[in-house]
Amino acid sequence: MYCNYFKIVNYLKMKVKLTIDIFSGRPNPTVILDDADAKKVLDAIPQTSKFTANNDQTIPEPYNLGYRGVLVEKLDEINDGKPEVIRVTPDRLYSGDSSAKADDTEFEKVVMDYLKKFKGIGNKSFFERVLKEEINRFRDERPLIPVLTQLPIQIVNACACSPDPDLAWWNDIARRQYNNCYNYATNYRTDTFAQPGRGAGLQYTSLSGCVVAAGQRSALQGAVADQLINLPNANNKCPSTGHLVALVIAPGYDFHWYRKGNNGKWSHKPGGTAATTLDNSGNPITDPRNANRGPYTQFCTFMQVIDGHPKLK
Amino acid sequence: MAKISCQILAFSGRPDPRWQLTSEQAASFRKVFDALEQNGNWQEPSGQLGYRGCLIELEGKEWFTYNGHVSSLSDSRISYQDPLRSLEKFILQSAPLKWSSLVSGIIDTELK
Repeated sequence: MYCNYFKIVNYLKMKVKLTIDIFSGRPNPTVILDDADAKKVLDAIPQTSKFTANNDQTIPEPYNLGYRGVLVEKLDEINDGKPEVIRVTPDRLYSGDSSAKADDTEFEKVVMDYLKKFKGIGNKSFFERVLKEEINRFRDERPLIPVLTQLPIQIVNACACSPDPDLAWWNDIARRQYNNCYNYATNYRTDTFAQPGRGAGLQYTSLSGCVVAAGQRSALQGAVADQLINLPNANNKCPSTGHLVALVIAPGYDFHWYRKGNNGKWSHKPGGTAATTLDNSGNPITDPRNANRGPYTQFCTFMQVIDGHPKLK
Repeated sequence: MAKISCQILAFSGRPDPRWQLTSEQAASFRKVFDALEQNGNWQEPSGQLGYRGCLIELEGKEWFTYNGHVSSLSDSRISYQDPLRSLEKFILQSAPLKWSSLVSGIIDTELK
């Protein structure tokens, strides 16, 4: 009895956001539906198999220009066994890095019923015509998108995605004094002496060490908030995408970063001074764990920077 | 008297400590500065981690002092000798109180 009552309340609060994924430059059209309309959309999702991991990318999520499906995002907790966010396409559902088979029940027609409620469609009749054309094209061309059974490019240089060793550019007087080790390591100029976490509104609160007291936020946690990826086991090896950086701490007063270039060599920029490939002993840096780091005695971790992902301030 | 700004080059990630001398400090600074002897070894800040010297902004020009030499960063022909590192010590000791532990660490390891 209690459960049924709870379920009724849950339905009454149900909210779902729909996004027609069609544009590249403009924001996609969106609408938020609630209650009966939200339930109607969720019930129409044509799932016919369980979601399974798609780690090898043999069934890639649509990456074409033009229509790529409808994103259905639950804004309330709805216990219907389906993921929080689903991309619905005619033959498949996608969520995160997993996907499931779907029957083509023309789910888009349900979405079309709400088209006039969408924001960002501009002229409705024009958009409706374009959307229908695009949906038809997707149905025709989707099966032709090649299935990737192996990486199309053989990676010969594991650090190929790393930045050029462009020390001279960073050392120009116009940039040098306004950009620090974090700017240089992430290859992201802000002219603000960027601080880990500040771009995400979650700047570090303690530099006592790599690990900080409960309730405090470390430089590492700030960097993760900025969208750097922690790779504690990277062992000085470049990631397959993006580039490798390393975080060290001068306990109690500062942090410092190194970056690995596409020539496999490490470099760093001590504060507002010039970027260099040498450590405090004047030796080239082959591994920041072993370099002479002066007061930056704690080696924290290696991290991955994917170009375009971090937001620094 | 013209304003004089000082900066300790010590950090990498955080902004370096930077402050302006009071008029009393500025008058004392001038005395130390004017007593320097010419023909030091011109140098600019190194790319080392940790303490790297002090920067001074004086009458629109930037100077750098470290390890017994005072160099004009706007003209590489101008440098002074300061074998007792008196200008460097003066700057470090003029830093605001909040930097006192940093300064005492530098003086203990670099200037004693």
